[in-house]
Amino acid sequence: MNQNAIRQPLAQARILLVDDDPGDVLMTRESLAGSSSRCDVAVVEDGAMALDYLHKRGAYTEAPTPHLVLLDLNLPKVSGHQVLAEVKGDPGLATIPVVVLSTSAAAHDVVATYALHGNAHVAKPVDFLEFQAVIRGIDEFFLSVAQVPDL
Amino acid sequence: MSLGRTSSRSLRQLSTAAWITAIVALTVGSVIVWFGFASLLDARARVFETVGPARISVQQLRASVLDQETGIRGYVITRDDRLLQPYTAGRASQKKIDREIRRVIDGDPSEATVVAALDQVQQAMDDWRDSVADPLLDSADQPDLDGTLIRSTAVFDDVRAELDDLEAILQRERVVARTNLEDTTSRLVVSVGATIALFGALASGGSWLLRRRVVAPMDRVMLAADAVAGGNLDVPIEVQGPAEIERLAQRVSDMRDRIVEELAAVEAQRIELARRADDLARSNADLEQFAYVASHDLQEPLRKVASFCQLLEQRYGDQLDERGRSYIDFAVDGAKRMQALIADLLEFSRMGRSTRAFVECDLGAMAEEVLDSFADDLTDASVSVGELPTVPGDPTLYRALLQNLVGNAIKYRVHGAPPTISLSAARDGDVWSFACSDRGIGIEPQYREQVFAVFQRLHGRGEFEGTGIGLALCKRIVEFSGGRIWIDEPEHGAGTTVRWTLPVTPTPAPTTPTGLR
Repeated sequence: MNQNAIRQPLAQARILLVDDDPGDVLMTRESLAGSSSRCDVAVVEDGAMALDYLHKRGAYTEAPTPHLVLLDLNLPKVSGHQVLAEVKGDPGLATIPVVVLSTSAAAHDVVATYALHGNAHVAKPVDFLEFQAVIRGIDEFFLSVAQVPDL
Repeated sequence: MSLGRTSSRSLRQLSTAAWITAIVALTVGSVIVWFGFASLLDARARVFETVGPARISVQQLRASVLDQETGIRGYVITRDDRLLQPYTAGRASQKKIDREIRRVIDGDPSEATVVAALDQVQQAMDDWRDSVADPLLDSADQPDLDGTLIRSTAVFDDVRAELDDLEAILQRERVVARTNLEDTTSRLVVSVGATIALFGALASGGSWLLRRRVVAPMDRVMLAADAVAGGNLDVPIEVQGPAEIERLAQRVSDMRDRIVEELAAVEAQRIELARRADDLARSNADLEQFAYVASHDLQEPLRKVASFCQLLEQRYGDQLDERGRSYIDFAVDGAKRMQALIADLLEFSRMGRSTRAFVECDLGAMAEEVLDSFADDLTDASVSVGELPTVPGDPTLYRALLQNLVGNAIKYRVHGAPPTISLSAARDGDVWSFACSDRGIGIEPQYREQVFAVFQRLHGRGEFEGTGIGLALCKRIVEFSGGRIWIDEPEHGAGTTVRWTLPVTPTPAPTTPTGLR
């Protein structure tokens, strides 16, 4: 990657949201809608689809590479941590920041996330206003404050 | 045991029989040998002290008799009185020897014969003296010297013949006595040999009996006991022998039976324990599953209810009136309380499950930390902390205990007044007795047990927040740690005094459930 590939802030940030709960998806979308940065949110409902999306295969051959992955843990078919392990184990995908967004704050889940080289583990707050603030904070940090590769 | 006890002689009986046999044999042997020796002494005495001396005396007798005859002969020829001396001396010694022979032979079996022969000699001598010596001595002249001498020789031949008889008798007796001595000696040798042989036979017979009746059965019991000791519990122990050994075998057999029974019981218990451990592990796994479900799946819908109500208010709040917004607030509050209840219940149910071992916990330092965490609420409070000990337990649980008690003291203070809290401890035998007192609103006596129930509250939610889990959790922590907790009469007349105890030494290791993460 060259210097030109890195822009800040990204004109059009792409986020892949992996979550099977339509309520959470809606809440995340609503939260991001009020965010300062403009971003495209793609949503997949399970781990298998997430891997297809990232590997651009199956129904997702045309899918763009996201700048950030928001990954729920409790997913049908392939679990969040399995997805994380495969992404971080693949040199072509390992550089994509992955934030695990889970209802679980259990120590073993948190440790597993970092052991698999996840970029952050965030527990979904119970209160919606806090949830909103957390989602915007992630968006703000990864897509405006931090520099991320544009693949 | 297949044989009845009565059919086997006891070792005691066997040993008594052996003793009696040995004593009888010893006595009989001794008597035989003793009699043998006595006969030998008798036979020897007869040879050397009776018959022998008698024979010598008879020879002397012969000499004294011959002396008399010679004396008379010499005197008759010479008429010299000096030549009469052998006659008188011979006569005296003949009397002496005669007495001596009679004395020596006294009591001997041959006494009668010898005495009779002696009498014959005596008689012959008397005849000679009457017919030859006395007439010769009395007459001063020699009427018929040659005729007298010839008669003397003839008469004296009788004396010789009688002496020869006597000698022959004693010679015979000597042969008899010597033969008897030899026979007696042989008999003694034979009887001593027989006695030794008898003892040898008794000893080897006893040893054979001992081996057959005692040692062999003992060996069989030992072999069986060794087999049992070696773990082969199916070996039957059936030993026949003396009553004692049968009893011993019976005891070993009983012991084996008991061991077999106990082992079966222990095995049954072990299986039962293993089954229960499996059940417990399963039930713990179920509880873990429940806890996971409760903390994730059960909370998710509630989060949605609360969140979308909030989103509704955020987006469309301006289109609702005050009442509409209060409905949303109630819905959000209800959902959040439900979440708090689930979280508290989860914590309550998981209490102690992460405790691996009890360690020494410095409650003084812990109280300082807890009070620091409430620093914002305690700015103008009056707090006194006495000397708190170090006790065995789980630090996480003790911290939660102090957190709840201090939290309650702050929460339930008299409205508008600064909180007053005192923590103290005193040693009471083998437990520490603690107290946490405040001057807050207090707990009425009738509710002092009720407050330890799960989710039990005494006040409306409008007055004080909380699910009502705090004291229930405290009770569980204290009881888990081996103590007890109760509400006492308030120390300061008003307010609340919570007292609890904790053991000074560790209680038996906490019953840690399996399935810990």
